[in-house]
Amino acid sequence: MAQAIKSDRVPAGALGGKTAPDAHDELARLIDNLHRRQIFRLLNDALESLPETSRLIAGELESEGGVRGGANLFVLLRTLGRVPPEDLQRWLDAAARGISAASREEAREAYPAPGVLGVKDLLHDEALWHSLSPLLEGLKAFTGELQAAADSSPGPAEGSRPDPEEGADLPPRRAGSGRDPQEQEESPHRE
Amino acid sequence: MHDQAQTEARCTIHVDGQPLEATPGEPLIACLERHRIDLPHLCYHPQLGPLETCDTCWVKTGDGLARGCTLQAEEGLAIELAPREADDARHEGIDRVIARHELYCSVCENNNGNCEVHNTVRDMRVPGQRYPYEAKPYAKDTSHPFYTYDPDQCILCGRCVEACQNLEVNETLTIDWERDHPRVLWDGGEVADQSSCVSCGQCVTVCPCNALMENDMLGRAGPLTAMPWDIKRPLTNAIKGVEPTTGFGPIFTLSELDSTQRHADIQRTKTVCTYCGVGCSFEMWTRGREILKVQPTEHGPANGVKTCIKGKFGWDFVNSDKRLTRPLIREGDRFREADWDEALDLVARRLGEVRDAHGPDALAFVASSKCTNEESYLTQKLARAVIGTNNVDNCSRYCQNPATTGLFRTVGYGGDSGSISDLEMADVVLMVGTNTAENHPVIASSLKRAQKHHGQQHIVADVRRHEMAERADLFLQPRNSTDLVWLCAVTRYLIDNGYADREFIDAHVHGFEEYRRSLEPFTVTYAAEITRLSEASIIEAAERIGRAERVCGVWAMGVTQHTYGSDTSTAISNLLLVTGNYGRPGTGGYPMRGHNNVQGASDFGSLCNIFPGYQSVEDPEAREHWRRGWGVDWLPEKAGFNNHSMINAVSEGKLKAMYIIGEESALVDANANHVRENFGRLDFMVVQDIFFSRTAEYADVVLPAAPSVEKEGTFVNTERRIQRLYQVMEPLGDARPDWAILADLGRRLGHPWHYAHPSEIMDEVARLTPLFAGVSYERLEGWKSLQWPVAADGTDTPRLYEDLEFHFDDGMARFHPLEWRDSPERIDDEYDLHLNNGRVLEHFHEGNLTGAGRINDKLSEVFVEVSPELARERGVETGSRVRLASRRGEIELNVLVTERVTGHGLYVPLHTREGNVNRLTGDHADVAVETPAYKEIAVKMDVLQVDGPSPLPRNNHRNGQRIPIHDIGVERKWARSDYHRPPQASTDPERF
Ligand code: SF4
Ligand code: SF4
Ligand code: SF4
Ligand code: FES
Repeated sequence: MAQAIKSDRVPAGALGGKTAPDAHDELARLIDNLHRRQIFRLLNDALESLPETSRLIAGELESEGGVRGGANLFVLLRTLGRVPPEDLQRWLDAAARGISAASREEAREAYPAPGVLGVKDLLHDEALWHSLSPLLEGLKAFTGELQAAADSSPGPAEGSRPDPEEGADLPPRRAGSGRDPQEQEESPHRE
Repeated sequence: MHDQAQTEARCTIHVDGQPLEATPGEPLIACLERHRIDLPHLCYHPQLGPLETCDTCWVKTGDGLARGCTLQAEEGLAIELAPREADDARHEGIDRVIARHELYCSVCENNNGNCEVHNTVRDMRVPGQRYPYEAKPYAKDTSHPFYTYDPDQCILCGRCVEACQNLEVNETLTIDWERDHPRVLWDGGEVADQSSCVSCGQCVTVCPCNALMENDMLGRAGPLTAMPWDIKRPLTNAIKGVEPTTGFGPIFTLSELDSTQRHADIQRTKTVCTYCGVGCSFEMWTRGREILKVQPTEHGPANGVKTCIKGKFGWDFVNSDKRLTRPLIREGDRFREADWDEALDLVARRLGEVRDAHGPDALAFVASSKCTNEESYLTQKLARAVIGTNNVDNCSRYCQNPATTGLFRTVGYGGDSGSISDLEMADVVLMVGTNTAENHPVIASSLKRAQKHHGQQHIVADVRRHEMAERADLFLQPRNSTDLVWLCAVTRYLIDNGYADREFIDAHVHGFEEYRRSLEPFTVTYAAEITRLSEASIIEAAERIGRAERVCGVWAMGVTQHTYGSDTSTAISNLLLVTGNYGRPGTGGYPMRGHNNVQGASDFGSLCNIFPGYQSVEDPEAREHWRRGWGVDWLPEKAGFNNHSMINAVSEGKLKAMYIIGEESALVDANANHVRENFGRLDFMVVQDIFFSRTAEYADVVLPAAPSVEKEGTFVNTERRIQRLYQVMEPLGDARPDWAILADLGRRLGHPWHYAHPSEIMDEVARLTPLFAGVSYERLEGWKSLQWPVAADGTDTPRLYEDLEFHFDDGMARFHPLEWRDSPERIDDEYDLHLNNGRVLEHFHEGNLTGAGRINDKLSEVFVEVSPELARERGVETGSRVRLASRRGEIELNVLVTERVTGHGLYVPLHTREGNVNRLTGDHADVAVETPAYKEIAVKMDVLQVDGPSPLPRNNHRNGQRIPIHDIGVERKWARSDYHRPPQASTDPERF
């Protein structure tokens, strides 16, 4: 007659399993993403077709800055790998406008420090603030572009209303439902 | 006719002068959304209706400004969105919202594309912060194990309160509008965990922002959310410092990038709950194996945004370190690991050997009602077509078969007659032996809402005063096992007093006269004497039923798990037939199915006497049909052993091998000691499970299977609704989906079972089973569902018998005459107490799944409920230790004194191995279908120790004090002297 075997006589290896990814898994995932998005092929092609460059790159990669740069590049590539191409196109267009706005000389000159609104208090550094202003101008243009591109169906609820005292110069607003467009359009299950 | 009806149901409304087609009564917001016109709205939610708190939806009407969320389409409605004053009012509204809610989206757990505050601010192009944001004088409430409330982020939209009060109808949440700084309260206090909150999570699901968040999301949602607040805070302050200069634009750009990245990182997969028969569906948000949250949506056909604690928060078991992940083979007095080839070869060889030595009927299979339909189908196919036996059954034997029998006898189909929407429509719901609020919580919510807001009456009959009983319009508390008597008395009263629907009976039901004669003994006086109910209450029940236009009968294990459970089920259906309550909206019989797929396990053939689709195995034509369909030489002719009789067959030496899938038979079958003894007698036993269960202790081979979230398939819920579940994650370790294990085994036993995906199994079922002719995975895509019977063209049947054609050859229903016999389990001088038992809200059955995680924070121990009278009589109190002994065995438990039980009635929940009530249950079973009479146990109680700690933790909802309110009380906000109606500027925007 078969006796009951209690759970303490079950080998530990038969219970439980890996429930969270470790560093190796994350690395494998990164490699997989780089491969799936053809980034490796691109790099390989470049390396194969340009032995001179590859020697240079290899040398550079060995340096401390190279290692850091490589790490940063991986982060960037990983993020880019997840961005739908149409969004990237919008961002790039917007970024181009932003860069041109940032490089305009008047941006450097005309942007007032925020003074009363607190940033100055926060930074205590007029010079730093001035050096930041082109970047902010660029960001503003970038954002404006981005929103203009996204705004394909003007709703009937447009209206005008005084901007807050020191609000930025943004495209006209429209009424919004606050719904997640991705959520609405996506099939509820995973592909 | 149909077209005309549709045309009649249209109207035209005008929006900024533009004509729009609408349906009369359609909410304006829904109508505008359909026409892709954005009208901001934050507090409005389609399942909650207008709450009128956020003031972001103003439109101009002929009478001036109105909140758009309160308007419904009707012919002639003309509104304007464009006028300056409407726009100003909307912006005043949203400016106030962000004075209460700090936009730090990139470090916020809710920035996942569906944050409605973020999206509304973005879509309204709010340029920047007009009113300064101010923190509230309250700390975050982190007390609750499953969610966190952050008053600093709460916009006081009231959705959570509305959900708790009027969707879940648990009535925990309120908003104190009169406080200086209004906030959400739990039982009127500030600590969620110490309240009547039942952890259904609906408030969290509907919260439009991060004010209520699932704890599992905290720190885990996005790349920046893991930072501690002492880093997040200065960063947020820095950004907030820049924001007045830049406006929201650039900051939103960053948070949109963050949200896009999260979208790619977090998988959202639609699945169906693995617990009860309500069949809630929802998206599960995961990163790898990490479950971040369960998010029901309004698309869930059975539940919408509703869930209970188990579906919303009961998933810790999936990543439990106790999960079985390698096959095991018995070797001496221990198990050793094996690979799949070795384990399955051994199983195939041994099953073949037992069959060759003792014949196919020496083997038996137990299918699981946790498994999918496809897996149930393969289990019975393995038994019938491969081994050659009808010894296959599922746990519906333990619970549901008597209900099915009652329906088979009277109306024909063994399933709920309608849908949850029919239950909502009924004027009277008669609930017998169903603890719906704990066992089918989401259906209970629908019923409680219908009662609270639509005048539905509830007649509840139960030996125990559970929540539905407490809320009932009429509560009957009969002596145990006597429901049949008062049901027959009510029916007789209805006939005698002119409430019978004679036209319906004459046209659609056979056997009225004979049935009427069978009711002769059941006078009200006789019933009162047997049941110990008052005559007046029996008459009142009858009058309420007789006067109602639409009646639904709902019942569950309190009816079925009795010696005459099939008869009592039949009595309910007879009553419904007498009053013509079948086939119309808001009518019908509704046995509440227990497990997620207990309906499907039977529908797809894992019963000892039927093929898939309820064709009898003893019908030669059906047998020939399936023989050809499966391409085998023969199929067994006689019905096999059922779950219950299998055990006796082992002791008689007739059964030599068993294959048990996902069933904790060693605990859940009645008379557990006897069951375990017999498992030891088997020559060969296979257990396929996700945990090393008590049953597995007796196995020769243990196979690691996969839970619902690790596989594809379909379930059938209590409404006969077939729904698809998608694979959320890969099986853990070497575990495999049950269908894949069975298919592999079928191949090793020489059959060409080359199924590559469960959809191919479903295609085979649809080809061979008229009941499922039109079922396919395409038709079940996403949130779609089908309620059987499903015609070949895909037409399904949300309501049975609508054409008043009952499921018999002549289309007529049948009355089934009954007589009453008392339970064989006698209460006597020695065994002087009646022991009732069942589930509790927090746990499922023996707790294998729910016991593996944080639900234990709310309740872990099993206890015995003792009435205050009995406690006084025996000198026990909450925390006392007692021994309960029946004629079969004994268990020791701690006492919980409560008015839920009365007199000499006791109640023991099922959810731990230690307090296993099946040591006490006996072999007596339903006389028709052998469902064990779990609810008929006579016990005696010995006091072991008087003092002890309460088995109910302080933070259990049963200790809370609900605060029922009709609505969220927004008028109280408007009545404040510091409330100014938009577009007027607010003086204290940060307060409310
Ligand atoms: S019962 Fe609890 S979880 Fe459910 S809605 Fe109410 S407060 Fe929220
Ligand atoms: S906690 Fe409640 S009142 Fe506050 S924002 Fe969320 S749903 Fe609205
Ligand atoms: S256990 Fe039942 S009611 Fe709760 S979520 Fe699951 S299916 Fe819904
Ligand atoms: S949506 Fe109308 S007031 Fe909130």
